[in-house]
Amino acid sequence: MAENLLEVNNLKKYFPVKAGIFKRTVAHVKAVDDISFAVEEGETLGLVGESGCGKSTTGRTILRLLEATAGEVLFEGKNVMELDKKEMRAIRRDMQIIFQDPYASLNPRMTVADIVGEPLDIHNLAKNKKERNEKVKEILENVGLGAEYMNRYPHEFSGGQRQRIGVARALAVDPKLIIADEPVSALDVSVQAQVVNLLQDLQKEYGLTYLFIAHDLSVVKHISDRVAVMYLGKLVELTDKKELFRNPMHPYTQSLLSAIPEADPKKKKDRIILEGDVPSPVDPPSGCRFHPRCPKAFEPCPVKEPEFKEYGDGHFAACHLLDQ
Amino acid sequence: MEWKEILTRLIKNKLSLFGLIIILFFVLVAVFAPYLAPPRSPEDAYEIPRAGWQVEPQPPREGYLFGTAQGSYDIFYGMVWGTRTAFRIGVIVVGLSSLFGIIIGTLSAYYGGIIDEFFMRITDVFMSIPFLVAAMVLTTILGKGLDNVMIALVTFGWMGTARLMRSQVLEIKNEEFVQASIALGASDTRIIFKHIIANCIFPVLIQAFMRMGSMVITASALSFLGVGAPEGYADWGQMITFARDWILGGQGSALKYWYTVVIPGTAIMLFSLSWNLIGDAFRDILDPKLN
Repeated sequence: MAENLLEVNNLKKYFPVKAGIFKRTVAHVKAVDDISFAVEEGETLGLVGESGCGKSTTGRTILRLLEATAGEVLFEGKNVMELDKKEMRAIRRDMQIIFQDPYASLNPRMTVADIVGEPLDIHNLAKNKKERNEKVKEILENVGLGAEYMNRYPHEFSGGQRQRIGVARALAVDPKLIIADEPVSALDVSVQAQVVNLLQDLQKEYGLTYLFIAHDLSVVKHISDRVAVMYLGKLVELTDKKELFRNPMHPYTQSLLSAIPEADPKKKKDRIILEGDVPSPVDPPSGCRFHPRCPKAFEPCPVKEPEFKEYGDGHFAACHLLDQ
Repeated sequence: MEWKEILTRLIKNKLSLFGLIIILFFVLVAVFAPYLAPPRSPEDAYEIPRAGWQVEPQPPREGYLFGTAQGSYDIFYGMVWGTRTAFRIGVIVVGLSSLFGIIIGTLSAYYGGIIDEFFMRITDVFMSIPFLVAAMVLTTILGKGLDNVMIALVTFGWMGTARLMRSQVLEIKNEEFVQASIALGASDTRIIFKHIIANCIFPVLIQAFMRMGSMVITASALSFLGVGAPEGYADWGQMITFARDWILGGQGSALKYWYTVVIPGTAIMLFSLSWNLIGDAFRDILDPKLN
């Protein structure tokens, strides 16, 4: 088994809800509530869940774009949460992020050459302007953009091309880990495939490790080695991709899988349709957070929180049913 | 958008072209002031020469193109050299107050929390005092003179920019490209200058254009109220002040001393109008919804 590049232990991120003239904290939005997982070197871990379940917050907290409330993030054995400003800047070379929105994630007043060259400037990776331009050109070619685009501004590009620029920017520092925060969900389906394939090619070429955040299971199925399923700030299941799609243990995962559209319209499907909405993360349900919507809930569910533990061969899940 | 494109569009718009032409005219007048109205001695070029010691204004005549104002001050000379004063007030006051506003607004919004609270409460205190009254009081305390007028205008003129900048920065700093830059390990200075200020400077610029005109009006108002430039100093406000006692005309003719009011009044109006026209056109150009 490969070594763990990234290890997340008991990570929590609560956002305070302030009210009144004295801005007292009246409650917390528990966006990420005590999650633990590891990403092995060279693999792609897919992180899926509905909107608002804390996927993106997890990604941003790992990179310290948001400060965690509690827990630790070990990157190559070093606790990222304890690094000071200078050490943090240095480690950012090794962990990068690709954003969801290809329109908001590029500075509209910078040329492509400046956007992709910025990481080189920050970390002094190019000795002079000529070398910088050479490097930018090389990176752009690697993501499938020609050098002729270098002096253009982001608004002159399509969504897919912009996302390639975003990928190029992340690649420029030669990182080990890339957190891809829904990198294709804002793109057309045809373009999604191109970008996903690009990410896969780059992974092989650069030996990258991905934490791939998405809400689209079919995309995750295509790119991931292992998949983690999140619900309302908690991990409910984590296992090998094939195992997950063949043998989903958690009722939530089962319902998610049943929602993937089938290409054959005649094929009968047993769709598990969940009742109600995702509860508020300010005041999550007691016990198992999924119990108000779970079709299989029974006595212990509203009372006791299920433990996230291994049920054979790297298949983790959190459900009382599995203990019976 | 590139500067070149902005300029082409400013020229293409009829109103802003009109504004640009007037500003250009005033710039030329200011630059060639020593040729248009040669001073008696270069040291006191801003001292308006007097045609005599007559109190009553005299109409335009040979040698005194715009006539003479109260106290026989040469109106033409005062207008020509006053153009320089107008630009000096406009550029220095708007430049400095915008700079303070940008610094305070950016720091408040970028660092937030207690820093934001501190700066914004100071801004509130300054804003709570009526601008003209505050500027008058401060000029009175500092003493007569154009420099003191400018100090007063800067002291009470930065709050609008600070608030505007703060709201802009608050919006931009949560954009994903700023997050991306943080994720790359960029320093605060880099993020503030390259990403934040570069993306929110235009509204501040537009506001600065608009204020260019109004600052000159305010400075004139202070002169008119008697706390501005010392008597005899070439300044448009001063020229209006000379007209104060003659506005109503006299001896059965309401328009008898029209030149004392109309000439400086027109100059001030055109000056501030043209800055506003440019500012307006600038705003339209930069508003993506109107493109």
